[in-house]
Amino acid sequence: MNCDKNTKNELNTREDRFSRKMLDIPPSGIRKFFDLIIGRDDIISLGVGEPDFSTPWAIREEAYYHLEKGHTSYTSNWGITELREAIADYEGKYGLHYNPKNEILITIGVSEAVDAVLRSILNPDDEILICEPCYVSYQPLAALCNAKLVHMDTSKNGFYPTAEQIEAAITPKTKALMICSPSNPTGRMIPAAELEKIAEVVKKHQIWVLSDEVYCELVYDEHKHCSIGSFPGMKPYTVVLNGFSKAFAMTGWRIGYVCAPAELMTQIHKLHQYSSICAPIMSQYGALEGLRTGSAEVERMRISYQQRRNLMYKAFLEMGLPCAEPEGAFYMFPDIRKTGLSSEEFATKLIENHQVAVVPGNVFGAGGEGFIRCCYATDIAKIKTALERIKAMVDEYTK
Amino acid sequence: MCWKGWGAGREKLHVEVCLPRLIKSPHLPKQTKTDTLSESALLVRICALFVKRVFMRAVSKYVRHQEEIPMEEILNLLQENARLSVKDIAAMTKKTEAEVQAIIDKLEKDGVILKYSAIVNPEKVTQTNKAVQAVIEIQVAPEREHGFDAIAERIYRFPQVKSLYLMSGGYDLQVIIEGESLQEVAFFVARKLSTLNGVRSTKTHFVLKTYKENEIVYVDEKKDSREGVTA
Repeated sequence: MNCDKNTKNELNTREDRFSRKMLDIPPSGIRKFFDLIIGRDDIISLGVGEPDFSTPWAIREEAYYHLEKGHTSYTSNWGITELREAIADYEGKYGLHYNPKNEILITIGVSEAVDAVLRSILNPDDEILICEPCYVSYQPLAALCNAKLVHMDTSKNGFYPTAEQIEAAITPKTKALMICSPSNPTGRMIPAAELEKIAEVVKKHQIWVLSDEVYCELVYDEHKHCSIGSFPGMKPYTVVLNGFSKAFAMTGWRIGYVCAPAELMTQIHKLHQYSSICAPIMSQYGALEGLRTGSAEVERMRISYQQRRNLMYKAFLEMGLPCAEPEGAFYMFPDIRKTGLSSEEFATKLIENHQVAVVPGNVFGAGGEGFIRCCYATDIAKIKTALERIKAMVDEYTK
Repeated sequence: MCWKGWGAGREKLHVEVCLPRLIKSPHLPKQTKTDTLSESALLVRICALFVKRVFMRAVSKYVRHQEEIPMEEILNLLQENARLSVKDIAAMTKKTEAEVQAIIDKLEKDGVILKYSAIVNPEKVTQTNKAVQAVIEIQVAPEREHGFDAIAERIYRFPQVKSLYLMSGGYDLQVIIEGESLQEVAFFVARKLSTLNGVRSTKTHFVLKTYKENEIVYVDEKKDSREGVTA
């Protein structure tokens, strides 16, 4: 076709036409895996890391209302005042106290917040401690700042870091520590007592702690979310990253926020205003409605995830796959090493031979090899069928 | 009867729950009258106090035990999907199968769960003997001693009556009726309802389309459309 021909003729062939830094960054391991299942209806996916609920109606309706009223402009770079005030109240319930005027910034999802914070604190050759396995975007975003990544494998300790482990990894060049509790991909939480010890280490060495708390509402049984920023004297060292995607089932709305001391926020704010200007206004009004009236819906979804977690956890134990019981989020991270397969091999064969998609654990960094991530935010009937198929595969390789 | 293809997930089962049965009534022993006591009466009183204490302990233990059991959670699960197996419910609530079975048995025995039925989307069924629905507002003259209950009973005993509510506002009873045709419903209202003693007036509204009933949305919603992303 003419169009293709033209494109071919116009290809830029200059060798250094791309950023070397960007060329060094591999594509996401999750993305790579989903490419395998595109266009296949026969596959049950336990791979997608997002709720299977639509956003609660009250939130959707509020966004409609603001569209109808013609509220389609930019907002302040900080985000709308009422939303920041509502977030200040909400975070207050976890013992975090931030001034909505200059310590809370609304971002385009937690992802933008992570990027903006890393770029605001890291200098080339600074070291950042990353507790792994972890969400796939921390490492590349830190690498783009030319920082040195220090991978801390938490798999030996039930998938959460200890203060001792963190302190042993700290050097004079250490600038920051990245934590996520409850964790993607394991669902594990850092116990409050351990967080308190980590807080002491952070204060002693005067490093930043970046706390990704996006799953904080989705915690199960007797577990309670605890923010590291709530311990005495921690505010000057803490950056809290949170958003509405998971608890309020608002992934497509791209709405998150960052809470940080005013001095750091001045830097984050500059980056945000130049790269994004502001988060979408409809999403901001939707999020505000979520905070005002959405708690019953969040609780309904939380109970549903908890029931599905219980079902899946029992099934993995029954099929003889060891698994640390998830305390929050909606992921499970069973150990598949007894099959003798690597994570990638297991996940590939599972798609090819048994039509179930999971994410191989190795894409989440150190300590993830030998595990698979299964998301239980999907229909119960599908979870049951997927578990039967996984069992068939495990039986096949452990005869 | 001829059935069209079913919409995915529409052929849900339904649990009917009797709400008043869920509200616990306290069974406390009544206060006994105080009077001058003889020695034997005092002894009887002490024995009675002892028995009462043992009884109260047993009651509070029973109530505590009841609270530990996720009765409400099991009811919610069954109301959402009555075809969930005892095994699955046990796994989902972290209870044993025996415990879950005992709770369901008790809920059935106490009349909390009245029956398990399928919720059918009438628009997906080509031919049905319940093709027409009507909401009827009735004004009645309440009877001495019986109030609205006697007339209500005379109405709800008709098999055509699907629901009956006593209402506040401009009318007294709201009846929902199902029938094969407009004529059948109109005939029932004219012959049976409006001629009842005590019925002063009726106003019949035919249902044109059901959008939502018993928390079930009767319009096809899109399936899981989530795509693979890096989250």
